[in-house]
Amino acid sequence: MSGGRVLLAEFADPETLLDAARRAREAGWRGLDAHVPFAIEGLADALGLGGTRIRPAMLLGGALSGAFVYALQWYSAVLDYPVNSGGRPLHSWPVFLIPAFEAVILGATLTGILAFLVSTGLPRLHHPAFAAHGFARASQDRFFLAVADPAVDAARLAAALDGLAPLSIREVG
Amino acid sequence: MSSPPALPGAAAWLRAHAAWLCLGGIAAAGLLVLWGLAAPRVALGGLLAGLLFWLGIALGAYALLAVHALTGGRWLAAFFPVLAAAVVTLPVFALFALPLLLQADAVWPWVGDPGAARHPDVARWYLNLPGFLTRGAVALAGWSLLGLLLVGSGARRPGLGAAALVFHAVALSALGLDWVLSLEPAFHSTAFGMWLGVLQLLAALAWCALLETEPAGTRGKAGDLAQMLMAAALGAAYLGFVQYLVVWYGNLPHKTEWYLERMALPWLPMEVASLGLAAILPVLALLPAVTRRSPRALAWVGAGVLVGVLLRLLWLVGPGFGPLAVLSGLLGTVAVGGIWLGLAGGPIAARLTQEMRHGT
Repeated sequence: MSGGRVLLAEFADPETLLDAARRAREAGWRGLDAHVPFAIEGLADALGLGGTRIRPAMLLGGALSGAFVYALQWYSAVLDYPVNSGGRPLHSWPVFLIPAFEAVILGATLTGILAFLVSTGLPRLHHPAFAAHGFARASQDRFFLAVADPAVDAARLAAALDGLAPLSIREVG
Repeated sequence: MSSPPALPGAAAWLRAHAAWLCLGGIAAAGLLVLWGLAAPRVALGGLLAGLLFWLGIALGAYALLAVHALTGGRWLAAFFPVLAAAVVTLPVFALFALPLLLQADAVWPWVGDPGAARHPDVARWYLNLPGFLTRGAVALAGWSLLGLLLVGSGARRPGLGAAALVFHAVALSALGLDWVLSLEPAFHSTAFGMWLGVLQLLAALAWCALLETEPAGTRGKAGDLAQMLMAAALGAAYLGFVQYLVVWYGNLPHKTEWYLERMALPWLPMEVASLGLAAILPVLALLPAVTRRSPRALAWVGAGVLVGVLLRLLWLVGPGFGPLAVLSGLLGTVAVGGIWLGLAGGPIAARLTQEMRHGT
């Protein structure tokens, strides 16, 4: 996400990328990321990425939205415009529950979409990694490890990845 | 042919104790028969509740196999041995239903007194003994036959799946109305068949969770079972609540009576417990990814859901028979369950796992 310097190491298969990610993590470097064509099991752990905070955000969004809709119904039926409808209580909770439930789903979904966009920085038109030639293959058959740590340069990265035979190591940004 | 893989937890226990379960079931059935000699009505009500619970698991399994035959996908593979064993033993339930069908006048009030039906025409064209017996026989025979075809096909067969589901929808609506709702003929609800169907799906999924059917390597990774459990729990809660809502809003005496009867002791605590175990527990417990992917946690949730569904069925069937129906219902559950598990969990399941290993 930082606009600074990024080192990219390119690999031909996901297993080697996983190894590389573990080495980079063991070296204690910060700003690790990966650009890969499909989800790779264990990659988030190998990179040391924390769990996503989208779930709690969705829970909160759903709860707030449900509470709002319930309160809205309660306010309009009990305070603002009380009507005796066949002797039913003004605070008709069985009926209020249905829109409140729907609002929980809607609120949680919208919060989820929003939280996803905010947490990933989308929509964005440019990323420093795009400058690397052949980076488009990150969406096809290449696996990129990204290191955005000011303390690391191309030589240190190459030394750390010794034996893993990266296809290329480049500095962009 | 390789030997069947070691089964985890509850499934292994079931298989190892199949004979004991069967004996326990027969003993409970004997007690129920003795009870039946003294008070046939309560005992038969208990048998009905027990039958509906276990038949529900088998029918939920039937519906899942039919959905899979229609839509395909890899999600079924992990549950197939358990679901298939439940489905191929569907014919056994005809045996359990026999005492009920033979003594129908002791169970359903409209059999002896056609005036109990809502309208003379209802008794004349629908709620009469010949029609009831025919519908029951056709439903059980159709489920058994289509179930065997579904298990045999294994792979994706949209035509068979569609036919099985259409039959299921009609037969289940008839079963719900005939066997459950007509216990109190003044009450009726158009969503009842659907509700029963979703409760059965929930029970079958909970059964899979309890038995930890997924193979050790991939267990819980996809989170399929947890997601289906949650969806079924929400669906069942929603349909159950919507029926209550319509009655609450309509506020008509003959319909509210059905619910008022169920708000007395001992039924109200059962309703609350069922809501907690079969609706709130699965939805809240399966929210965090940790529990969704833990087979052990899923097994506990599955056990809770099954208890919740059982309480729900006792709550549905019992009130017409009086408070003692809770006891006879539990006895009926042990009787039907023991005998059925002795068959479905034991030899038949073992045979199926071996036969299907190369097919799936």
